[in-house]
Amino acid sequence: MEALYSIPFTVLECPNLKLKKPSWLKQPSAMVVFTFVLLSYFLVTGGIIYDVINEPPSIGSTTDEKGNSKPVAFMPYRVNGQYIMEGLASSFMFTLGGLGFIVLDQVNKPLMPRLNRILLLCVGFAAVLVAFFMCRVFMRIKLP
Amino acid sequence: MWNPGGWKSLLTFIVLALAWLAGFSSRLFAVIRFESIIHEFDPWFNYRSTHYMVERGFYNFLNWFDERAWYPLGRIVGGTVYPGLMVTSGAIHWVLHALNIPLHIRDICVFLAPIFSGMTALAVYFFTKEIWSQGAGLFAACFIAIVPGYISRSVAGSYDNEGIAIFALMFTYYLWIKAVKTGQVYWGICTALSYFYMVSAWGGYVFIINLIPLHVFVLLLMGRFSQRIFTAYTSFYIVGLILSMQVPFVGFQPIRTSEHMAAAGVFALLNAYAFLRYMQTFLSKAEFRYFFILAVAIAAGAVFLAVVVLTWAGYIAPWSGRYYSLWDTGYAKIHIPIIASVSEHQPTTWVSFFFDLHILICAFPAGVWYCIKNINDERVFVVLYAIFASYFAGVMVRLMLTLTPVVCVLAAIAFSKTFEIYLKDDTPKSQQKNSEEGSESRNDRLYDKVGKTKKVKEDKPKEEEGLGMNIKSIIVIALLMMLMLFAVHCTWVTSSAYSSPSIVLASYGQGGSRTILDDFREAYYWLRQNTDDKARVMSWWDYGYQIAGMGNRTTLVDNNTWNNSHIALVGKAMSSNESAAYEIMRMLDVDYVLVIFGGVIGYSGDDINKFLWMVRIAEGEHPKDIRESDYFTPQGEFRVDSSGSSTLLNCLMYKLSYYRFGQLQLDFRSPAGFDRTRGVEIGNKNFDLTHLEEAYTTEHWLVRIYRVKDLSNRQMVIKPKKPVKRPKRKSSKKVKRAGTIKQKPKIIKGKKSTAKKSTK
Repeated sequence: MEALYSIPFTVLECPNLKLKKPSWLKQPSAMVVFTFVLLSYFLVTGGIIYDVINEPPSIGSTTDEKGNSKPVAFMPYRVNGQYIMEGLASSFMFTLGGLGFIVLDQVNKPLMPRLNRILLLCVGFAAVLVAFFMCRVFMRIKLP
Repeated sequence: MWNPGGWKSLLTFIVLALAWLAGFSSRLFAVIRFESIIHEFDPWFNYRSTHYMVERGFYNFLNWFDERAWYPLGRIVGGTVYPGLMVTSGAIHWVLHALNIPLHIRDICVFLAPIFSGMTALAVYFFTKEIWSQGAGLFAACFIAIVPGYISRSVAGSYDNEGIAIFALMFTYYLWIKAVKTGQVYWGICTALSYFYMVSAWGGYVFIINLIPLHVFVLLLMGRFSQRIFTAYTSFYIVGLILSMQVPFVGFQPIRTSEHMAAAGVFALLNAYAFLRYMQTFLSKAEFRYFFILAVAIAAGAVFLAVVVLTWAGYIAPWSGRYYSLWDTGYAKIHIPIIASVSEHQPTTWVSFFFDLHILICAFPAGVWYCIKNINDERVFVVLYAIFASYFAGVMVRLMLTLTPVVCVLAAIAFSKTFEIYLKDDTPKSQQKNSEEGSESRNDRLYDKVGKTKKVKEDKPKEEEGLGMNIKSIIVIALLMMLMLFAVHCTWVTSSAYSSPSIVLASYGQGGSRTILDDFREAYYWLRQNTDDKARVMSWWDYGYQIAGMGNRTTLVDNNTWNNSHIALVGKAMSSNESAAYEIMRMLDVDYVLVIFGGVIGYSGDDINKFLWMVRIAEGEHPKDIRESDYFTPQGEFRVDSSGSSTLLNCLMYKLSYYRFGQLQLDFRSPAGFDRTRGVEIGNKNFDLTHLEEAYTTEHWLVRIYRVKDLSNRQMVIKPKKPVKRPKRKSSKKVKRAGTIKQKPKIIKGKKSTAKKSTK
């Protein structure tokens, strides 16, 4: 075996290289993976692919009865159309809801002061509720 | 006698049975409101071929050459269809008839999807049970039973492949998880069998054959290789590959197309890895390092070269367009208008996510978080499934269907975990830390351990007091309310959005009275009764299956959009002017033309609204004759009123839709010829048809059928008349010329060619 490897080195001289695995290349930790997943989830549920393909404006505008144009954040009465900002806003709500559930789980960690526990609980609970009801409100606008 | 295990399984059974029942009954809105009828477009073909199979037998069905579709090409149905759906309902029909229960095949077809939704709930229950726990499984079963994202494809009457395929998908995944967990060949083979059912049922099987290898690959990368995975994957891949090639429509694709190459590559890689592990036992460490690097380099190079060479030589087909458009999202829009034209292939907006999944979309990231935090072999699979399914669902609305099960699973995990913490934790908590002194007083008589633990651990009684039972119960109640709102939302969405058969329309008056618009069936029935048996009907491809299924007439193009140029020809006929269209129609032997027109009742899914796609598809094949820009106004708008482009106002589709419409005044507030769908008065009101004649128009003008006139003697008659007419024309021209002064100098200058151009 050894003889086989040494054949090319009879003619060639080994360069003095120091190749190492780069230090940043390692198996990512669970939280890094989760961050990436959450980020991509945020973008996908916000309809980023729709935005890329159909190129809607970031917010729309309408003209009211006096002739002034005013901005509209939500494309009303259309289920399969959206503006960029409304997609991001609602996917933020989705993600907020998800984080709320996670915070609700974190509350039960042992060794946590009482005040922090209550605050966290309130934050998590509020996040879930706010996300849920805001999504309902948003959807109410969109539905005909 | 108190038997907790027995009670638990009884409770599980009851919950699953109720989930099945709820899932089944919430899908029956359409049947109760209308009748037991097949919906939409594709189901009509499935129903027609099921009917054929039940009548003529399975082998005749496999050999069926349908000369009534794609005239004059015909279609080999047996070789171009996933037969799993027909075989399933045919088998049910056969069993019922063997038991002397005379049920018509149509009723089986209508109720197949709701019944299979219950099976899906079971499969999801078992899947989640393997992934997490039994409680989460029950949650997941209840979610999947009523979630709108799945109901949209499985209401009673929508007799489509997806109805049974989601069950097959989840069941295959369950068996795969089981195989990975146990490492037994038995489960691997079961996975392969279930995979075979999936392959025979739906083209989405490609998702399985890419996700499972990906799972194995990621496990290898994470250094989680084990004998179990090796056994599971090799047994599944070999048997699954052979079985999947038995389906006529799939044939040799699993070894010849790029979509399946990932599975083969992972198979080779897994074997190489296992072989290296085996070699490791013989070699010393230093030797092994060299050997390992060498072997990996050689193996990777060989696999890559083999794939490249085979693709180049044409043995492996490159990615198909439909698959390619999943990754390069702009691809379909530019290159394949026929894929981009289908409404269910549009990219998803955020509303669809919330509309179809509601609260689950919020709980979904939390479920992913739990799975990543407590990772093991099978949870890697769920996380991968979640990532890829959510990406695909973002690309196409239709693929929301594959996302829905995993969202249910992960949301169920999140809810189950949350409820675990907030509902029943007073026992473990008090064992660990002695919390909630005040609130426990009610409950502690049930648990005799509490007294002991209290004394043992009294470290931090103050810190835990805040999370009393009161706050916890508030949270639990709020979460329950959310779930209740979820159930309400699901029922509402099902009843309002997903339960219309789309061949029977209903409109509601102000007093809540309901009018049924049955124009489609009226027209198809007219075709069936009043036209020749061999008559050829031209329509846009959306209506091909319905004409074949209900009207029993030959169609030129239908929803199986396999031949783009044929569709483009029909699109060209629709979008060119009448005489040019007549040539095409003569060429294609068309007897009748059928158009859908919604201008009278305000139906938005009609042919004029779809017309731009016809133009685009025709332009893709005939760029010289049809240009999309011709059909727009100079401002780039698509309008049918008087400012619309003249090409549009004279094309066949416009004329057929609006023939005699200019004489119709719908009400006194609007002028005659007012189109309610577009909200405008049409631009070209007075025109006549020369090569076609109106044959039938339904009650609400929804469907209009025209007969293509035969080549008549008229042209023969016209020609001899011409010399007779000429002297008259000359005289009239002279009169005009005498009247106009501007023409005079031009004629004097004497260039005939310029004069001709200006008059034209």
